[in-house]
Amino acid sequence: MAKKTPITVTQAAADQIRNLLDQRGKPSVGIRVGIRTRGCSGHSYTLEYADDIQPMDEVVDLNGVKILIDPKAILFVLGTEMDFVEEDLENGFKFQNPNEKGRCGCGESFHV
Amino acid sequence: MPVNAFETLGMSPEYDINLDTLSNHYLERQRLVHPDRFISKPSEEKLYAQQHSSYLNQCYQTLKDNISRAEALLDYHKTPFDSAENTIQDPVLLHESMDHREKLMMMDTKEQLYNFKQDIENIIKAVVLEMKNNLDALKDFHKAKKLILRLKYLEKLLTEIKQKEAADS
Amino acid sequence: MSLLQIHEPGKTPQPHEEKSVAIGIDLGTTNSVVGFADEKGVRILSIDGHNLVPSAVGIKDKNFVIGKDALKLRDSNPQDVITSIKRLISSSAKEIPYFNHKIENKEQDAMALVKLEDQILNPVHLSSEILKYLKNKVNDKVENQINQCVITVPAYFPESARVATKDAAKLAGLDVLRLISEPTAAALAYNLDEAKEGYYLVYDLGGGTFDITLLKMSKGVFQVIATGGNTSIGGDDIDFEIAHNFSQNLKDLSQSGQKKLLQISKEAKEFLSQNPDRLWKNGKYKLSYNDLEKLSEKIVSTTIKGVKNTLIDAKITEISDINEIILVGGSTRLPSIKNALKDYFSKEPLCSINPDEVVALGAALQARALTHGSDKLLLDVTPLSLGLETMGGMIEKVIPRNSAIPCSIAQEFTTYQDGQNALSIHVLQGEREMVDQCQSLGKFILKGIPPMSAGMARILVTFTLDADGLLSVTAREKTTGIQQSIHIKPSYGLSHEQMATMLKESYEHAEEDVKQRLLTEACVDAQQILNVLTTALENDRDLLSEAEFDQIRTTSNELAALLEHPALEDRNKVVGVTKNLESLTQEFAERRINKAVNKALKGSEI
Repeated sequence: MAKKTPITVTQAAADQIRNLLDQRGKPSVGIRVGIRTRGCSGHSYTLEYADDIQPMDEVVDLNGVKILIDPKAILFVLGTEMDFVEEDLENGFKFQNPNEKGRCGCGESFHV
Repeated sequence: MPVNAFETLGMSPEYDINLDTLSNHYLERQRLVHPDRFISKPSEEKLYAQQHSSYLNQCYQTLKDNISRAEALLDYHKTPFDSAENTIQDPVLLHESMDHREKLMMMDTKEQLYNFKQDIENIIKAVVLEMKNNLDALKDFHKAKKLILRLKYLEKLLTEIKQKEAADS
Repeated sequence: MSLLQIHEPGKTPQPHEEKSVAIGIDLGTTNSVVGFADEKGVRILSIDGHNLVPSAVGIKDKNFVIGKDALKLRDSNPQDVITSIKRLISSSAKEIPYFNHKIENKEQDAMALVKLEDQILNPVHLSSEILKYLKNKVNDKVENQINQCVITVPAYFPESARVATKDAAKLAGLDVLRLISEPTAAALAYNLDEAKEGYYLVYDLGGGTFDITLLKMSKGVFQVIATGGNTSIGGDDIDFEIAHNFSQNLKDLSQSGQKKLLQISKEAKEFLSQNPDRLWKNGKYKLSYNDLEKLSEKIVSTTIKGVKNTLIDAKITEISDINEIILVGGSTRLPSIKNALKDYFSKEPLCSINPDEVVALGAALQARALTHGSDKLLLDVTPLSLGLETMGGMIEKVIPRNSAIPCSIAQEFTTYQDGQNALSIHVLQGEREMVDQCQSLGKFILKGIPPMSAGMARILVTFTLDADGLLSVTAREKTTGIQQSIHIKPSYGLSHEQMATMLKESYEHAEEDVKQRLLTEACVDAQQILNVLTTALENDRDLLSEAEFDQIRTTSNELAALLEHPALEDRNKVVGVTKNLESLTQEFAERRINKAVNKALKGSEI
């Protein structure tokens, strides 16, 4: 039975990750989703390129692109959908998070 | 400033320098320290960037120019050129300059001006060559000082010729 | 919500430190344009459906009206609308030769004042209204407010006008990352940095200014080599010549009559530029392309002469050394300008990008480069020489024009009288030899020089120009170390006091709103923390010691009490207690994460 992945990733997000990894100019195993317990009211996500896989990382494989999830972040991203959105003057990734209850005004931190 | 212009721009202290290398060294350094690179940094870092960038500009200006480079080299050899003690006392130079000035006043055709400009540019080239020889090979700093004075005068004349050319055209 | 970006490992910025977004603004004489660049490219942000916003300001029933609406208002109330404000910013009231609106203080050597309805206004205030309008319109479309920008100024803009432009931005609540010159911006827009290395000439004829800039491209660095031009000629002068041709006694007409005739003249010019083989007619007035060419001949030849002088300045002897000629400014649509340049350079000038938009596009690219980093660099120069008054009303140049900026140059001066104990430092800008022919930028006095015989004191005067071309001057007596310095504010510009008053006035109405917003934000943050904490305590109280729990509860009660009836002044208190509570619960939050992670890992192992 296929293992249920902790997060889902939209096509747009997967394409953009692939593009960025190509442009990075050095070999990467994928990207790592992390969490930081600082911010204006709690925690915030981090997205970084990953040079290696840590033993405790949860690995989501999308046709060759690996998304590594830091064990501390698993709980927060569980069940979320990672999307890539392009707005008028800005673009970037976003997690649609059903677990989330509140956000700070700037949208950078959140509570669970 | 503690470091001299040659050192700052990574050039050996010689009169005969490659201007392309100088320009490349200048641009490489300016890329690193220009205030545009520090726009979101604390104001202290911005100030350092401004000071560094300013100093680079000053050094580049000094070394690029045939006259100020010679002066910088004399500073380096601790025999600075002092314009006060080097006013025109040289009868040959005095005669040359009076003669040129008279010629410039008499010129009225475009062609005459153009030819005169070419002559002066050739003289400048020759003086620069002589400067190289005296500063780099012979280390005759006394002679170099005389050449600086002559070069200053010739550059000024050249600017005047060009201004006259522009005004007439 | 803010969107996430992928960063290099360990390089994720702290929240609120993400790279900021900035726009590029071409604050033009006739039109203003906003550009924006991101990784997708560069584009003009349309405002009210148009790329160009007329640089017109009017007042109707005490309210400012900007752009198209101001032009509309001009039809009915010409006395309450003003255009070409930029011409007022670059010279003092006395020096403005002809202007389309009455100047209240025409005889003064001060910043020009104009009257709209019953308000007396200066050009800094008027420009700030345009900038504020542009900023608000852009921000209507985005969630994260943009308040950073790059503003373009004519390369030939004097120090005073640069300061005035920055002041106007400050009044509009905009943070100026950099002032860059318009021709340089245009060159950036043409992406010359990917072109052949060598020299490029930008010819920029706008409504009221004329700029020439010579750039050198090498190794990804854009160096401005020389600038030239004239702040008081432009396409408007051609309109004036045409109007004068229509009516010899133009100056005797009423203000509104003059405006109308100038408007008609402009239409004639624009029509004939597009249709050189047709005859233009409007009522009793008519004009042919030949007439237009004759009327603009003087202005065109003045500009070509300016080009030649700039090349001499730059020590360029061979015209063929110039790779490309770039045309900027709506007035370059005039065919006789293209022809004159083509004749002189034996080369077709570049004009593939709309000359009205090219500057804003370049400004946007520079704004992007400054906020997001770039492997390219722009090195600019100062357009006019800066110097000091010496004996007999002469000027000693300290920074010659076309010096690369930033720069800092020191020169030594001395006293000329025995026992002289003070020295007046008079800072000037301009190319002429005498004080009264140059623009005075400011004066200050270095006092406390110890008594010495004339010529013995050693006073080091340092001129410092920053990367925006703004000047500060320091004077230091070397034996005693006594020092004085000033940031130059032009003598006819706005004083610090005037600026402060204007800022205060603009804040006064906004202050209340801002305070309210800050308070609301603080309360929302605090309430969120309290909500989370309540849930957390319900579930995981066992992770806390009794003492920890008491401390957290006391602080959270304090915060909750504050939130009941918060007054405007309570904002700092709310923020302070919230911070307290955050740090008190930081450890608790980490313990909870660890607990949850352990639980989750155990779960997945089964």
